[in-house]
Amino acid sequence: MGLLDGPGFSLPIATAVEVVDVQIEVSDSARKAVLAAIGEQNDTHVLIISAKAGGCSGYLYDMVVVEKPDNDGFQTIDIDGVTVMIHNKDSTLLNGLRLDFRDSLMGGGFHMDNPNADRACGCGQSFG
Amino acid sequence: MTFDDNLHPLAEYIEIPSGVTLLSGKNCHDHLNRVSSIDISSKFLKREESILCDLHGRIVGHILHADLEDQILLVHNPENAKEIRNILSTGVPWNEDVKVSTGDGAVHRLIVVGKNPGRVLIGLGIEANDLEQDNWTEFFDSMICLLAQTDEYTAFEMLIPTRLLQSVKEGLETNGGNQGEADSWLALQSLTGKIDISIETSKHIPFELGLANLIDLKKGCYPGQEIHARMESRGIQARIRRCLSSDKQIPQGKARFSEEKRIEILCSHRLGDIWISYCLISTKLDVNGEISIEASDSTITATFV
Repeated sequence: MGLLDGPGFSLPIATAVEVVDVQIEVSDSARKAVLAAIGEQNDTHVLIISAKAGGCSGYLYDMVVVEKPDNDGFQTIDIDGVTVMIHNKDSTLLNGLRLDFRDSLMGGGFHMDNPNADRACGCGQSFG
Repeated sequence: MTFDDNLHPLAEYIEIPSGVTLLSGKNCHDHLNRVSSIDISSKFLKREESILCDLHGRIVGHILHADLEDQILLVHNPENAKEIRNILSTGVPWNEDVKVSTGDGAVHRLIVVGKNPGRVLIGLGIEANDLEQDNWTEFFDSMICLLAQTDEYTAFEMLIPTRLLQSVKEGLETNGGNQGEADSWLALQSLTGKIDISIETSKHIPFELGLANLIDLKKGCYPGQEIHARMESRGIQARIRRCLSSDKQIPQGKARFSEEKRIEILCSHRLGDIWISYCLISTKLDVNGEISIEASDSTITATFV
């Protein structure tokens, strides 16, 4: 036995994370950029948008193209042929997100406009 | 001021009311590192303190860590446990293994303090000289570390599961220790300019509480880091911590003293016949000696220590 062991010893989960039905908007330029990133793997791969703790303002955006995960914790959103997935635990943080892509040498790339953010970091990757 | 009259010749054991949270899972260190004010390194049995802040750089929780390899036990003020757990529970990446559990009441924090606590601990089979300040040492199914060592006193910190609490207390008493009051330990902390993790410090700026050592501006971004970096580079601090001695307890909160000057009392604890209060005043005020604090229903005379 140790500090946190013993017969019948288990600790309750601290906080149940709220889950909402996610709705997001993806601009046409962002959709094209995601399609270009996914390439020919569109049948098997998806874009996962998530929020993880950290950054100056509390949370950091993360976007990855991965093989469709075998995980029932995700919500799937189809945007004209692009499959975007958002995990239930990020649903309250990302609901209403607008994803845009700016094709510019200076400050170009994906941009998030999140109605749940009171504040965003100067770099645009962190919100809170 | 000397503590001598208030110190046990051997040791008192003092239970500090605490909130307990357990972070577990193979990514628990990465997750805590993203929100913590210090660089969390995974080292078995390491003892660390850190701060969780909001995006304005204000404290949400002052936390004591015990690294259990694939788990991190977090001990903190019980009053803001919910806010601390909210921060830790949200923003867990979908592909990481992190679980946040409530451990209130499962583990207890004991301070063993006095002029010679080693004599009491030896009866439990613990060799005090072997204990380190930054690392926990396991004994039975509990943990202990050196917390403070001065010319006047030595203090050790213990984390004990509920099932062993009574037997550890009995063991300490059998070997000459007495049960003490949390107030005397917390007053002693205030006198030495330290703020215990059990004190409610939420909404305060770490620098004004003397917790700059728990801010690592080189580790990269964490919530509040931008604000802390700006404060550090400007070198401007609005308030400074001071310690007051009085015959009566001074109520917590904001108050006024002589000539409408403002003061905030963080905590007030009894030490023998007097009360020791940890307070914040403007750095622009140059005050010493005796002051009269306007409490809600009376005026309290206090002296800066």
